[in-house]
Amino acid sequence: MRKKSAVLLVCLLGVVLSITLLSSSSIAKEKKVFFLTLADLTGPAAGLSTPIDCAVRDYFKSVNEGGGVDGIEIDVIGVDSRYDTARAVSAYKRYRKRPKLLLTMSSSSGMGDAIQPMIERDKSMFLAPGSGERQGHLRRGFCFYGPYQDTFGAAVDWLMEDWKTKGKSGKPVLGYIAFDNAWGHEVMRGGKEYVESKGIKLLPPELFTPGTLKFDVYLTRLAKGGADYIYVEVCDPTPTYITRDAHALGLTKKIQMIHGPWGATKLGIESHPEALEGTVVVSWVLRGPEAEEHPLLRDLAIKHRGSLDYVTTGYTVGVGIAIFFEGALRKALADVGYEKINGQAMYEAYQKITGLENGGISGPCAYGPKSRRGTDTVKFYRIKGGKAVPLSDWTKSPDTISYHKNW
Amino acid sequence: MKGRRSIIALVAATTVILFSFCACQTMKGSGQPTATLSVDPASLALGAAIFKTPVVFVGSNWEPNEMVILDWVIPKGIEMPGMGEGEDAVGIGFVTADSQGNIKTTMGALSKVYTIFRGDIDPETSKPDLKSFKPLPPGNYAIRASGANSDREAATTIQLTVPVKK
Repeated sequence: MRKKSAVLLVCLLGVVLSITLLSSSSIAKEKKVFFLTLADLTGPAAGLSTPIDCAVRDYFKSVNEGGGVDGIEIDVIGVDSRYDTARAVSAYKRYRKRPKLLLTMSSSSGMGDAIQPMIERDKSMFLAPGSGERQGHLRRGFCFYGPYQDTFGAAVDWLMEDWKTKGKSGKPVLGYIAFDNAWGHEVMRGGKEYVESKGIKLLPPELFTPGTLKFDVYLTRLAKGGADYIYVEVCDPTPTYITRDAHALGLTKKIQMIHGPWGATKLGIESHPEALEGTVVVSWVLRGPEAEEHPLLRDLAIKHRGSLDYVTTGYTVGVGIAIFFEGALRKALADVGYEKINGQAMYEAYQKITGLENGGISGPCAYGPKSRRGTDTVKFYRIKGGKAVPLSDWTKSPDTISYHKNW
Repeated sequence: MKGRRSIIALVAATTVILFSFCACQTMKGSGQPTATLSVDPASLALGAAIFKTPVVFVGSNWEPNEMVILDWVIPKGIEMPGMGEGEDAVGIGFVTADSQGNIKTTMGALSKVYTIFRGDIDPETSKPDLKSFKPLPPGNYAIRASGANSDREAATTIQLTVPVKK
């Protein structure tokens, strides 16, 4: 009897042990970390947001095919937020407790602001485009690359040099045209003070409702104000339309148009090459033929999308983001190991990858304990013969955030 | 005999451990006040008038100052653009509770376009693309609210009706 019981006990322990071993081996096979994207895959910003999402997926797919990061796979959880903050907030709430969710990428700064209270509570982190808010308050939100106002500041530095090179005396007059929304106003928080510090006359900003299709009124007002340069801070197709209208009014002969980081895309340039000729674009990442000829961008696009046409600004932005993530993941794994890796570990790791290179897709990484800037450099391009031709190397952007005192 | 006792003891211990795990699941949120949610109007006729009608959500007993997220639950078999596989709802709003734990918010126009009308926004004009509208079928729909900090939940129902022809 005693013998029978002992056998039964051994069998029971055997079953328990087998279950434990089986489950642990399946865990070992599925060593994954999660990257949540709140992307606008449909909706009004899909043209801009989808390539970023595609690029992140393509790059991680390649990393995973190569064995992952130290054997850990990166799994993308994609939610189509449709440019609707309510959907983005709901999606983050749904996935926030997923073990090994390391980071959330928001396709708009507004969505980033909305999920931030939950992110702070969860001790996680997020990436969002370029609101200076990220740098103004050093918390758990990080810019994709430079803040919008720093990028604008770099344009101001460039135009002053351009003015001098042209042998003109005095100071140029600058016009600013943007959406009448948080983004449009954001640039002036630091950007305005920076312009004033340079003694340049900044005309009253021309802000318009998203969806506006004709810009003659705003452009005429800027021209009458004596603008020598107009900085356009909107996302394509709108910058293309603004420049098309400036060209039609004959203003581009006298006024230098400058597009911000979401300026004329390949599609925009192809549709209005004549109007865009001579336009300058301030870019966080490689553009035009330089991007198409970049080996990694070219290989990823052809391998995963089957065409070089996918190498757009959004795609390039996404690959750069993914490379910085990979670097931070490697750092976090080295610091805490897979078992302990979480949003907090990534938040700390992102602050330790200063100087990380992404193969020249952008300038080197600028994240750090006192920096939420993905990069602090930009590159200038000029549209010539229907292509974005480089006008400079990577150029340091000024810290315009420090010029604004009411963060 | 001793061996049988050991087995019984082992089984009993396993049962206790398992039950204590189950009990933790069911006890989640116990001891917290019951959060509430209501909507006004509780019935909407599917038509352009929805855009002129403020759909107001009110609730109480949320954790003071917490974010409360509102989701429109999509019944199985109904397609909803942007809703991922395995998901059962889409966000239609969020609001921060006041210091007393009360909430009040309205459904935004974008959520009405995307959710009630399952439509698109024209990327050029940023205006609703009326041709894309495929309104949800008439019926009762659950609206779920959940607290970001407290995990409290509450629900209400909104009815979509066929517009009356004049």
